[in-house]
Amino acid sequence: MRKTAAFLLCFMLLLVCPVAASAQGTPGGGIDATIYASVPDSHWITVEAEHAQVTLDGQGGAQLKAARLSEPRLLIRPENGYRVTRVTLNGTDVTDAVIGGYYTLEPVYEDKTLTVSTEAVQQETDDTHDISGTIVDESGNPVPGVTVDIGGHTGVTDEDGHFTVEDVPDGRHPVTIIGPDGEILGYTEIEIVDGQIGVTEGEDGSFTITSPTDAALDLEMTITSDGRIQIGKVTDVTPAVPGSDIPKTGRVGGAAAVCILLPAAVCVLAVRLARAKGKRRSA
Amino acid sequence: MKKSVSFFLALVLCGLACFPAFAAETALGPDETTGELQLSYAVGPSYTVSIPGDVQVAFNALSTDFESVELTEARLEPGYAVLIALVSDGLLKHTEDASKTLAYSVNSADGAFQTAQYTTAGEATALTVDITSDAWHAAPAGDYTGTVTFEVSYVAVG
Repeated sequence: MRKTAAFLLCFMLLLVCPVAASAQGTPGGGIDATIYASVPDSHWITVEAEHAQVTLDGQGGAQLKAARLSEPRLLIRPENGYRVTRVTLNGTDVTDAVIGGYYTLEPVYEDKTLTVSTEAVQQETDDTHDISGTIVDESGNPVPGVTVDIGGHTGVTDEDGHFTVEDVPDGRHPVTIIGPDGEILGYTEIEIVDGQIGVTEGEDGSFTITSPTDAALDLEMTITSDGRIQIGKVTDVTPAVPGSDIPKTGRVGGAAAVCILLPAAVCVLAVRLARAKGKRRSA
Repeated sequence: MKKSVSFFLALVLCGLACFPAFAAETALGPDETTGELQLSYAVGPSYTVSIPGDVQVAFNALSTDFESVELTEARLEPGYAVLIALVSDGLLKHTEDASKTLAYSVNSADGAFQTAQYTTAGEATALTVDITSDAWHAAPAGDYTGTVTFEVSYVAVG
């Protein structure tokens, strides 16, 4: 009897046992969805350049990494014997924005492609120049122990910042000042052409140096804080020919009285021979 | 005592148990050929709505598919509809610095999506998550998240 009653009780419990129920969503409630997005912390600048090198903070290569939203400053240097003719960024011509070899991008927010076009530079005649000078910083302090590279012709500054580079031909040359660790301290481009001694700065930040033929030149160069080279003064320092009236500055006023008596072509030839003779003696 | 308690519990359980119900039989008279049985049953409205799930927007993507809102099943009363409303502040927030935001919008083919009203199963609206190029260009590096809420309600039409 007891067993039967117990069995009946258990059976009844099963019948009335509550069953858990759940609803899928609640009519009248809200359902959330999440949106995710990621923004990278850097972007690549792909460099396409022939006969030129592009560096960012001293680092070169076919791809340069720039922090997102930074304004990277690129240095574009043609190889010796070449000049940069065109620079494009993602297809847009930015050549005019390249000053003294430097190009600063606007805040970078995506990958970019920089294309540099160059052309071979027709070097002028056999005219060459020994170039000396002094390298100072913006405070006027001499910069010792750095290498001055003018179109592949190099010299090292002494403790007073003085340097000498020999046999630089007329024509266009990149000028690079390189520190002891190989870092580029300053850069510009010069073009040496025949003419009265002088120097002018172009809109692209390069310098045109006019010089008498085969003259020895002295340059006063300043490295600016933004890595450019300013050429403040150019002097003809061609040594005077001993016993002649031809001064070092290249002016021929002392020999004018003699030239008056000679045909012009012979006079000019005499002056040039005197210069060459004086130059060989000083070397 | 135990027997009394057990007996009492059994009575209570019996009272709570379900019992089958039968309709009473109606006997027809000699002249009656049919009988009437009134049977009433109330069917409540029901519906099923499909809502977009989480989505990852690729960097610099101007428009990303956000699936659809859809009334997949519907048994509605006449004059009623299912209303789906979007609640969003339109800003993805930087996970490490909430002050840095990336603006977005949820759009349908007709423009900015705010609400949709359906009465028939199968009705749907395709959605996209859109971010402008200017917004991407200005966004600092990092991860961003944002939450949109779809509110579903049963409303009278008109």
